[in-house]
Amino acid sequence: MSATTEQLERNFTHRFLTSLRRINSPDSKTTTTHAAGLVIRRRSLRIKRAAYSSMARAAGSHRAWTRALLSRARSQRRRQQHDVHRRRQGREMGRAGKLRGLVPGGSRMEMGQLLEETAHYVQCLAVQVRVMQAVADHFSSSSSM
Amino acid sequence: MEIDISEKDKLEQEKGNDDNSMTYQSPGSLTSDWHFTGANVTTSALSLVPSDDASCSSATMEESFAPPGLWDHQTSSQNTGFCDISVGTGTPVGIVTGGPVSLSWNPPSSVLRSGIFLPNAHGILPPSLCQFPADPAFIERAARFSCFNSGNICDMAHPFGMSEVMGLYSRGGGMMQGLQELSLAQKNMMHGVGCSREARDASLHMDHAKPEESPLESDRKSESLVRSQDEVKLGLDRSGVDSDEAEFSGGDQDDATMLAANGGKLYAKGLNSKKRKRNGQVGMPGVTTDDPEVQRKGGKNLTSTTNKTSGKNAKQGSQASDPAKEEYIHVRARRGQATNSHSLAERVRREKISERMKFLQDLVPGCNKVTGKAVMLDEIINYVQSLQRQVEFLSMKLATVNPRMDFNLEGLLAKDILTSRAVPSASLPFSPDLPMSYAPLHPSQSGLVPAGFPAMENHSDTLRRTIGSQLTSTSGEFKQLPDSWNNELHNVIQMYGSSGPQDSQELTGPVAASNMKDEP
Repeated sequence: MSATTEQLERNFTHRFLTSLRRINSPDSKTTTTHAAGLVIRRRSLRIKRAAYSSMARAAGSHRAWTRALLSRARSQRRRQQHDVHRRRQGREMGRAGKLRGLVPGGSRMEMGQLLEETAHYVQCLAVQVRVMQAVADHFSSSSSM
Repeated sequence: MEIDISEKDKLEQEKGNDDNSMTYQSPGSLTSDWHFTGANVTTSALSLVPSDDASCSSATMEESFAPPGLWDHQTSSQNTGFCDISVGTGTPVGIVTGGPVSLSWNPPSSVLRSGIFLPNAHGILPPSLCQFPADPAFIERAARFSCFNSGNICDMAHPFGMSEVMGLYSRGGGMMQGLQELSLAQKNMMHGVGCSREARDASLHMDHAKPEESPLESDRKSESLVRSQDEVKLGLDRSGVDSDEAEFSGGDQDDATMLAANGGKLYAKGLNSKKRKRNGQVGMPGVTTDDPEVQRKGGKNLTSTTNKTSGKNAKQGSQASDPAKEEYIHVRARRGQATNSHSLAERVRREKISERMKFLQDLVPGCNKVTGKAVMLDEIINYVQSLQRQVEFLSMKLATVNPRMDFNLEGLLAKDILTSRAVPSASLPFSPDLPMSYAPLHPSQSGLVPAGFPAMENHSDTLRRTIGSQLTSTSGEFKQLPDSWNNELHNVIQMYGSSGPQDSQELTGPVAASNMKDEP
């Protein structure tokens, strides 16, 4: 693993664990009023959003997809779910359109930039999955003991 | 006298090696080369005078032992030193002329002869060439150079001729260090030098390296120039490109006036047999027009010989007119290509995209055999989707876990980083038969019993490693998984199961989820 990947991993882990702690510790809001299943569902959504935000911040804002992710998170937090899909590029059919949908901010990029951002996004996603897996393993094993 | 003769004989035998090694050993300044060759001219001169009469040879030997004098003699006696030397009419340096020349050099014998004739026919060499020692080594090189350019006399007469020859020697020296370094050097050079000169240098270089190869340097350089920005951005491996390009071979015997064009054409032919690693899906670089006077959009309408049509990607170096000042990529239309500015820009864009695709191919596991943009895009999409699914699944898993977040974060961090690097060897049994679903898990099934933190370190390590090792080593086991596995994740595992440790960590996701449910 390269040095930048390690640094990214450390950065992300730190942020993610901080967010996890923030999400998990105040349980009063979630446990009492809703069903157990819903609690978990809601919490998992929050964890997912926290994971993506942590990764976007850890990766830095020089990447278009991180900026798009963070702006999307900010707008979602303010309950403004405006659809930024297909803002710049016309609804492209086929694979390219699919990829644009997957990569945050992809609808605004042209093909060359899209591929570049996809490459970086894939790298960060891999780190994210790895760290989340480690954290989940740790927690699950610790709790199962 | 006798000593001289015996010395000459001795030198004859080892002449070829010495001379070759000599020239190759001094890649640096040309002057040093000359001096070096001058010093050894004696030997070579001697060897080249096998059947001359003794008087002549003695005279030459005398002069050869005084290299400066030799040179002076040459320059004084002839204006176009090279030409006259080659003619060898009664000049002491008529060493070169001898028919039975180069007895000790088998390969360059024919070359030498052709080289000899070359300057004869073309007595308009620039005076600067007179300063070159007319040693047989130099003549051999020049002859070979000209020979491999199909007797391209115009090249010799080219105003850049001197630089070419100089480049020849410098290239020859550097070549011993490997083509890779040279390509890098040329790439660096490329940014500030006219393309014609570079093309010639490149061709000279290539000729030196492998006489049967075509001058591909123009292609290589042009591609490098075009890709330089992209490469910097993506941090791609340039050496890979260079080594790939160095593989291509082809003869170059066609058009006397189009050096790189010939090379490019034959390069395209050579590409039919060789796979281009770097630009696999885009097709081979095509032919390049070489004419130095051709301006930026110059091109011919000859049919291109490229077979792989998805892209013709060879690009010339910067223009001779404005090489180092402008910053955008100078693209030259290739032979047989449209010279429209739109198509040129389109080609640049296409090449950029193909380069990015190549980079992605390395990132996405299991894409080495995939060729073609569409399939590659499909793979990329699948991979991104699988990663995003894993994130969602893991977040679900984390939500179900009731963590004891009160213990210190640093310790958690340390342990976490440790887990991703540790290599424990314990083995934990587990049976992956939990259906992967996003339905909220029953809390009672999670078996969440908070435990002390210190005791967890080894356990999580071993758990993780075990799962990883099991996944990597026995990917075949997955086929026996019960049908309770979600089809999606099953496919994901089979797709990425044998890709390596990195993927094993991803695969632990779905498998570990089952683990969670299994434990009471």
